[in-house]
Amino acid sequence: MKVELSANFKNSIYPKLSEADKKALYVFISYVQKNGIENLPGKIKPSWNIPSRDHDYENKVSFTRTFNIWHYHIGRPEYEESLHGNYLTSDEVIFIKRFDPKPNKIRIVGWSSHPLELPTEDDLKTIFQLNQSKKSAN
Amino acid sequence: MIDTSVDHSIDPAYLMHAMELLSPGKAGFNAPTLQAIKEAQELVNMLDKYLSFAEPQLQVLDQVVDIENIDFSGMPMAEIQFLRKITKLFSLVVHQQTEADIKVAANKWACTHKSKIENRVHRLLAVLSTVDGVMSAISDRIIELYGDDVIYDIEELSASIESEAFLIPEDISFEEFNTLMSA
Repeated sequence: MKVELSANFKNSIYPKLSEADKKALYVFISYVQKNGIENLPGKIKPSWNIPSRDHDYENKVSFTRTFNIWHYHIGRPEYEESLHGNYLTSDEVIFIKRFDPKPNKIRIVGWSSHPLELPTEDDLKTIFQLNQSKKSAN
Repeated sequence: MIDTSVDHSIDPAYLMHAMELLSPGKAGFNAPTLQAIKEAQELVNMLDKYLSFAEPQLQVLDQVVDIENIDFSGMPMAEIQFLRKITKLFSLVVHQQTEADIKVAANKWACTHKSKIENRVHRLLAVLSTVDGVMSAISDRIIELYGDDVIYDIEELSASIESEAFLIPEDISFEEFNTLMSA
């Protein structure tokens, strides 16, 4: 599976990550490139499972569903076993945009600790798409 | 559809000028100049033919976006593959318009796909990329044929191409990864 990064992730998020964060990201990318997103060590889930008490519940559900946003527990600062021991979770997650069913790729678009802060629509874009948005606005 | 009564060819003088600008062997030209020009001209003509076939498909690109999903039934596979590549290259030609970008794209495909037709694309683009006038001519030509709406559709398509700038190569070390990310 191909792995790409949004412009925001590469330019704004990655430079702020610690060395350990960067290594965890590298391990994730290498795994996905070879194996896809099946059987990852950490938990991966769609990001539209928003707590119903969230004050912006509907917008968040709509946004994450529309753009097919998922998040993966990246193992930072460490992994913890779930109550039933069937998956690993961590405080920090990365957000990914999936492109089901084609093409066979994901785009990494965000990084957050809990409580999760969703990326914005602009955060999902490649540099090309950002440029197009600016063009349309002018 | 394209009006076949109109001459869609690019002025050979552009191509001749481009050939003069190319340093020997840089673009892989071993054939005599006139032969190279003839091939380039043929390819331009072929491009028009394929784009006329693709017009209805291009109209719905905003819904489809992913060119892999376009229905090319009835078209030979080699031609489909060529069309896909040339459409992508075309979007680069239209929107990037820098010699470096086009050459990178052309070289990438020429290196990974060795078929004769792709080599011809490589050679043509190497020529085109040296002359700004030709680039503008192609851009104007697409707008003339398909209008701004289709250009927008191609932009949508090329978003996935552009994103390759941040596509992480496989089998790289952490150090290489970090260097790439810090570039």
